[in-house]
Amino acid sequence: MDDLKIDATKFTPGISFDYGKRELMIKGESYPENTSEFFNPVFAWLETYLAEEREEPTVVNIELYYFNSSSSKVLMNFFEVLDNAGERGQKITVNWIYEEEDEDSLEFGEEFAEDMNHIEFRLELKQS
Amino acid sequence: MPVRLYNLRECFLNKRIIFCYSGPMSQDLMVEIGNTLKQKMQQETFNRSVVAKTFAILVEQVQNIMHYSTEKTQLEALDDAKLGSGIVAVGFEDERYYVASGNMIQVKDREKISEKISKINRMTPDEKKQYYKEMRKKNPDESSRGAGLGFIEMARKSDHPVDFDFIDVDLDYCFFTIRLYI
Repeated sequence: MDDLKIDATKFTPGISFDYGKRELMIKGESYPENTSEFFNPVFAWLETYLAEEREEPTVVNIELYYFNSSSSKVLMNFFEVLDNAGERGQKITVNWIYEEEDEDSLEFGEEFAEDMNHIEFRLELKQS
Repeated sequence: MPVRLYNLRECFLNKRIIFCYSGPMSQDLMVEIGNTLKQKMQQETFNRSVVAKTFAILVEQVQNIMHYSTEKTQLEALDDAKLGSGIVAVGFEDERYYVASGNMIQVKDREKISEKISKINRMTPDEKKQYYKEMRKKNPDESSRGAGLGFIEMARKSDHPVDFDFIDVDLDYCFFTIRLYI
């Protein structure tokens, strides 16, 4: 399976899914006009990746400085897909990385964490 | 004409409107406007949260216009994309920033929008949070081109009720205005 790499733009985040390392990263800002169109390849990759069985843990790093409401919904779907895979036995850790003094981002992370039951969802203060 | 633009500018200055745009809205335009505004506000206020909230509310309002304004401009240069038209302003009043915008809607959608916002205005912060989380898990209405989360997202970023009204234009259309204080 190939890695997935999408460069960040001013309004879409950088995507870097490393198959060999089992490290998935979404970083930047997310407020495209058509959110689902942007995230379609991300979900397609994830579905294929999670369809494979594995013992080794997967780490997902999310570092988003700003995202709009439709991206918030897409993120919820993304975490639900991960949580379902966790229920099937995959070991998944999400690191929600937020900057110091960014209370909104911390709150978003806490609210996503509340809805997760089968994966580890950590809130991580960004080391400057 | 130049004289009248001067008057318009004076009007903005008197009302402490720091930015106003009226016309077709595009993603690129919004990104540039939003980032310039963010930089300008960062110079004026040290409160990072106020700047971030203003930017977020601006994005929601402009994207609402892009998706839902019934007034469209078709652009050949953008693969015949239809851009929604409207007006958006950022101002300062009673020691607070606000983001306001307006666009044409169909009269038949007026009641639905009014009920949706009024319902949010009656909620406590905790109820807003629960409603937001519930809506985020649901599939959006068929009529919604976004996630259907715009109003509640904006309302959660403001501790004032959402200010809105409708002005009748003709039998089929009315002008919807919304304002959020940060």
